[in-house]
Amino acid sequence: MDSLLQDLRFAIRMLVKNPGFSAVAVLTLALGIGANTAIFSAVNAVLLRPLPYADPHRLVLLNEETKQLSGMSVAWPNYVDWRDQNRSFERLSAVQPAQINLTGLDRPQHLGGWNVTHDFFQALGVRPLLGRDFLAEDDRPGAHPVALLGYGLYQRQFGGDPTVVGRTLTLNGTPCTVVGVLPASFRFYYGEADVFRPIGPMAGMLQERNDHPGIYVLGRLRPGATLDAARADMDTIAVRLERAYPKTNSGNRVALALLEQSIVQGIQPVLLVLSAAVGFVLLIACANVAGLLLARASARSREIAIRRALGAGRRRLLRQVLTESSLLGLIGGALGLVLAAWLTDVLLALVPASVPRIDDVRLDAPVLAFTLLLSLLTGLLFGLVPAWQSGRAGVAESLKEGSRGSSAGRRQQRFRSLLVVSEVALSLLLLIGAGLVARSFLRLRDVDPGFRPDHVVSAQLSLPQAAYPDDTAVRRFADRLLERAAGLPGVTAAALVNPLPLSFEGWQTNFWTEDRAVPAHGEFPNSDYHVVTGDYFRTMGIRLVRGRLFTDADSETAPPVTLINETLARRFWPDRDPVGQRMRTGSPEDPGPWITVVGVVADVKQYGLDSEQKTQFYRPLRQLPLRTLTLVLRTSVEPAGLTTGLRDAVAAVDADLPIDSVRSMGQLLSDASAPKRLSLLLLGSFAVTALLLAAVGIYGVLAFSVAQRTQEIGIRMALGARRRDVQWMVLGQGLRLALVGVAVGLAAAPALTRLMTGLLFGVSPTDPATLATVCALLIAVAGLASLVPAHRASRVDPMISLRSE
Amino acid sequence: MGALIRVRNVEKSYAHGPGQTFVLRRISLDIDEGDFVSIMGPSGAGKSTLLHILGMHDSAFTGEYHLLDEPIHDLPPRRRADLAKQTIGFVFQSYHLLDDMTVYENLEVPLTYRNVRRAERQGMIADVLDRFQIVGKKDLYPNQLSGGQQQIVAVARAVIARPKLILADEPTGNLHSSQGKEIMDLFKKLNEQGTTIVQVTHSDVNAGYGRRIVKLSDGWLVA
Repeated sequence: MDSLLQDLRFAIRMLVKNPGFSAVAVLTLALGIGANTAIFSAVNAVLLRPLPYADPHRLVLLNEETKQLSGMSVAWPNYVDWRDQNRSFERLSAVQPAQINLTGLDRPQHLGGWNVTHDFFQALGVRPLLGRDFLAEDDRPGAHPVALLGYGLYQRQFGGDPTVVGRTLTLNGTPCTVVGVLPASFRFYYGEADVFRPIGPMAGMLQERNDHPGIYVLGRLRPGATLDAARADMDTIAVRLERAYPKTNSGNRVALALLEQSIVQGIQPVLLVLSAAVGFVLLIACANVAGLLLARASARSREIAIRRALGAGRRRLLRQVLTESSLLGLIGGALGLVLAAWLTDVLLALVPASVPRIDDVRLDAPVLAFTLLLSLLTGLLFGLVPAWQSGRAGVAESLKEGSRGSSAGRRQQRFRSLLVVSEVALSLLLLIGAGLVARSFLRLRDVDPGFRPDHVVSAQLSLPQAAYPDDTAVRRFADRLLERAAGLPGVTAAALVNPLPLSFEGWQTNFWTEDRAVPAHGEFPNSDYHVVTGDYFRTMGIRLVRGRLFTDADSETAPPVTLINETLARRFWPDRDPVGQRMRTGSPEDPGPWITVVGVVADVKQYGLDSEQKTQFYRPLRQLPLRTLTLVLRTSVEPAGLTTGLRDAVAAVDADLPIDSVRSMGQLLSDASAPKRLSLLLLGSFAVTALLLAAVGIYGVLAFSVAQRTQEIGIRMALGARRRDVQWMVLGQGLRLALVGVAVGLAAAPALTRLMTGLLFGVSPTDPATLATVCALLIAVAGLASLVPAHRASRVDPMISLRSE
Repeated sequence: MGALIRVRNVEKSYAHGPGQTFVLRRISLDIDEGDFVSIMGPSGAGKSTLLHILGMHDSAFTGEYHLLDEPIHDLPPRRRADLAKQTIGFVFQSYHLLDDMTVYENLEVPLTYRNVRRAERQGMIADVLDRFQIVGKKDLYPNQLSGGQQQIVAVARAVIARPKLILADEPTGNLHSSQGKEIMDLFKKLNEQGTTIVQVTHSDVNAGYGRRIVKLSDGWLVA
C-alpha cells in the first residue's frame, strides 16, 4: 500500500511536470471514454436495465402469425382458448389499443388508451399508487364502466389531486368511474398510457374468430416453465384450434417472444453497432496514448534502467508504469464523464421519442461504475505496451556511458508504427460504416413516398360509438367536417383517411380475386387496406396510374368499388388491365361483396421509407365507414398556421370531439428518416473523431521518427539528398503506414460491415464505391498528417545535426 | 577472509556478421572480502562490461561467476536479482540519480525495492544523510546540486542498504579533482569499515586508494 502511494505520488508529479503531454493524453482519453459512456448510458437504459415490472424476465408477448403474415393481433375467442387451455403461464392477459376521447372538462382531449383484462397489472406486478386495481367483476359484460389513470394524465389534467379516485369521467361519451391511479414509475412501451379500461364489457363485439382487432397477449410464465416449453404448449393449442375451427384458424400459429426482447428489437442492432463504433474510437485513443507513452518511455529508459539497477523487479516496474497509466486513465475518465453528460443531453435531443425506454437514459450508478471500470481498463491497456517495453530494455546497455539506447528506440518505433497501423485500420472500418450509412441515408431521401408531402397537414380524430352509433352518423360527420375544412382559408383540398401513410399503422385483410380459384384456408393472400374519402388522392398528391379515382357516385348504395396500388396490380394481374377485375374480402363461408377495381394508384410507403412495398387497396369511406380517421388538408400557406383553424372547424361540427397529433406530412416524412439520420450523425461523428485521432497518431510517429533520424537525414543531405528527397522519404513513410493500415482494414471490413446490414438501405455492405472513397480519404488525410514532419525533416541543417553527434 | 567474488573463464561477445566480436576473453579473477580493487585499462578494454557483469546488470556471458559461493551463472533471474539487492551497491560515472525525485526520495528508492518498512526506512535515510553530511540537501532535486554533491548522494544511495560490495564505474570521471578526492576518501572510509570495493578507473591517483590493480586490455586480463 505504501509503495503504491509512492508510485501514485510520483505519477502525479510526472503528469504535472509534462503538462503538454498530460493534456493531450487526457483529452484523447476523455473523448474515447466520454463517447463510450454516453452510448453505454443508452445501452444500459434500453437493453440492460430490467423492465420496471416484477420479475420481468418471465414476461412474454404473444400474438398470432401465419405463413403470410407475422405480428398478427389475436382474435378474442382464440385468446380465451389460450387462456383456458395453456399449462405454461400463471397469467395470460389481453391488451388492446383504444381511441379514447375525454370530454366534459374545459376542452375535449384525445387520450392514449388501452383496453385490458382485469389481471393485466397483476401480470406485470404493478400496483396502483392510489385506489385499486381492476377486479374480475369490472371485466364482465354489463359491468359498470371504470378506468385506471396513468400518472402523467393524473398530474397534467387533475393536478395530482387524489380526490380524482372515485370521480366520474366521460370517456367516449360514456361515464366511467376512476378506480385508481398508476404509479409514476409505471412504463408502457407501446404507446401513450393515459387511461386503461377493462376489455370485458366490450368483449361482446369481439366474438368473431376471424376478427383480429389489435389485441396482443401478455403472459407471465409459471415458475419453472421455459420459453421453449411454452412455445411447444401454445403450438399444441394452435393445432387443436386449427382442427376445431378450420375456416378461421387454418395455418394460424402462436408467436412468443420475451417482452424485454420484443420491446427493444428495433433499436438493438443500432445500439450494438454504435457500441462497437465507440469501442473502436476508444481503442484508437488508447493506441494514440500508448504511442505517446512509448515516445516518453524512450526518454525515461534511463530512469527505468536506474530503477532496475537499484533493485526494482520487473513486476514492481510494471506496477509503477501501470499506476501512472491508470491515473491517466482515471483523469481521462473523469473528464470523459463530463463530456458524456453533455453528449447524453445531445443524444436525447436528437433521438426520436418513439425509441423505447429512451426517457430512462441517465448517468446512474451502473453507468458511473462502467466509466470507472473503463477508465481503469483503458489505463491498463495503453499502459501495457510501455510497461512491457520497460521490462525489456537492457540495464547495462542503457546505463553505459555513451549509450544512446538506439536498439530500444528502433524497437519502440516499430511498436508505434504497429499502433498507428492499427489506428488506421480501425478508422477505416468506422469510416466505411459511416460511409455506408450515409449512402443509405441518401438512397432513403431519394425514395418516393408515393405522395407529395409539401403543404399537407394531418390531424387524428376518433368518433365515439355513443355519439356516432351507426354508419349514417359517421358519413354525416365526414361530410360536414370536410365541408368546413375545405372552406378554411388557405386550404386547397381536404380528405379523410385511415390509416395515414407512413404512420406505421395498418389494417390488413385476407382477400381473393374472381379470376382465380378460392384459396384453401390458411393460404389466402393478405393485403393492407385504407379507407378514404373521394378527394384523398388529390389532397395527398398520389398519382393515378390508370382508371379513375373515387367520385360522389361511389356512395353507400352504389356497387362496391376499390382502387388498388401498383404492387397489387402487378402481383395479381401482371399481364392484363386490372380495371374492371373483382375481388372480395372475408371468407368463403362468410364472404364480403364483390368489389370492382376502378383504378390503379401509385404505391405509397406505409411502414417506413425503407420498408418493403406491400399490396394496398382503398375503399371509399361512404362504403366502409370507420370511426378512427385522420383529416388531411393540402394548403397554400404554411401548414403550421392552420392548427387553430383546424381545431375550430372540428369543434364547429362536434364541440366534444378532440383532435390529436396535428403535424405536417413533411414532419412525418422527416421523422421516417430520423433513425437513419441519427445513425449517420453518430457514426459520422465517431468516424471523424477516429480519423482525426489516427491523423494525430501518424503525425506523432513521423515527428518522433524525424527526431530520431536527424543525424541520418543530415548525412543524407551532406551526401547530396535534396530537400524534396528528404520530404518524400518522410511522406513515403507516412503513406506506407497508412497503406498497410488500409489493407488490414479492408481485409476485416466485409466481416464487420455484414453485421450492419440491418442499418443499411439500398447499398451493399461491401459497396465498392464507398470502400474506394473512404480509402482515398484516409490516405489523403495520412498524407496531410505527414506533411509537417516531412517539411521539418527537409529543414534539418546537415552541419548542425552532424556536429551534435 | 574468503573470496567474495570468484570469476573463472568469463567471456562476453557479440555476434558480428558471420563471426563473433569478443569484449571479454577468459577472465579469471578472485576478489576477497574487504578488498579494494581497481580495474584499469585503455578505452574499449572491457572494464565497464566486466563491472556490469559483476553487478549482475548483464547476464549474457559464458564462464563461471561465484558471489558468496553462489553460482551466479546458474541462478534463475529472480534469485540473481535478490542476491544483487542484498549484496551489491552500484555507483555510476554519471551519478544516475532520478531527476524527478528529491535527495531524500532518491535514497529511499533502493529501500522500497527491498521492502523495508516505512519507519525503518526513515531511520536508515536519516542515518545516511547524517553520515554523508547532506541533511540540508534532502529536499533538493539533483539539478539543484553540484556534480560532486550528486555523486555523494549516489554513493549514499549505493550504501544505504548496507551492501557487502560496492561497484563503482569511474565514480570521479565527471568531477573536479577536489570533488573526486572527496568521493575517493569516502570509498576509503567505507572500505576501512569492511565494505569490499571494486572500481573502474583511468586515474592512477584513484587506483592508489585501493590495494590491488587489475589490468584489462582488449578484453584480456593482463595483470
